[in-house]
Amino acid sequence: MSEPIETRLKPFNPLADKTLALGGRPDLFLRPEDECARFSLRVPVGALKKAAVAFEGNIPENIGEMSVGTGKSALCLGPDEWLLLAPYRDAQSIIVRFSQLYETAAHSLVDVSYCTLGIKVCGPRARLALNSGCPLDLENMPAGRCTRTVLAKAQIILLKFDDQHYRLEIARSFAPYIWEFLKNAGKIEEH
Amino acid sequence: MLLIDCPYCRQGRPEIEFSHAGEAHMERPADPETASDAQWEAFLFHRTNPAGIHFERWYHIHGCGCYFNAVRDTVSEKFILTYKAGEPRPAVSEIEALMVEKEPE
Ligand SMILES: [Zn+2]
Repeated sequence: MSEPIETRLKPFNPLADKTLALGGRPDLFLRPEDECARFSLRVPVGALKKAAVAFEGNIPENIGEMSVGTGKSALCLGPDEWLLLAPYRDAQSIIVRFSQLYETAAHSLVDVSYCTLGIKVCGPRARLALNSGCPLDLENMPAGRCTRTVLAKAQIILLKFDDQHYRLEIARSFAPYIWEFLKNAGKIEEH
Repeated sequence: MLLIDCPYCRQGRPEIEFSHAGEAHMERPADPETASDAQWEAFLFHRTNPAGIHFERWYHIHGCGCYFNAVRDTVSEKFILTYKAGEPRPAVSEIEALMVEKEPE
């Protein structure tokens, strides 16, 4: 049995205690999200209901949909690929419950907690800053959707809560690059 | 920048999310043990390289992570249609009808 996740090494967080507030309202606010457990889940759609029972949370079925709960979130990134987010305290029970699922449903659950880092991006200038490096039509992207995409020259996972509130998942080693990119993009005046 | 329709995402997505993956419908010899050198040579190296309609594999690497097939006009560089991996090659009549549709007025 693997060690409980919360006793392992602290994850590398190059953004540690950073926050950024640009402009008065503030117009752009950036902050690293609280650390959490992350799992990459690959499972055929037919076994998704069983996976949701093991996760003890909703798992949406279609690409781009996400289910955001009080602690647990599930993002559908591909036809058989999900990213699951959960508080650290739930990580061990998720691992155990999914290991029991192997008996009835073929799947793969990989702990990717330390792979990416979450960044909260909000404010009236959030979309402008993101769109400075991401060619998706974020204005017309419905709230409550997620996708893997590209921001500047790094791959990200983007979650849209509303037009002024987003979350990025970015590889930890690229986090300072994306942070500086958004900081500079947020300073550009809109004419 | 082009928008490419991913048949899995069912959305036009920016081309920088994609990577090209060679010609589509290249069939590996069914029995590698008995395949001749000529069959291997054809599978590994022979490509159609047309000026016009081309069947290609594309990979939505920075998106849903799926490979799919596309029919693209190598002269105009327009994507005519895309379809999921494993689906049959679309008929020429279907492709030509779409090419006429996409012709600017
Ligand atoms: Zn896709």
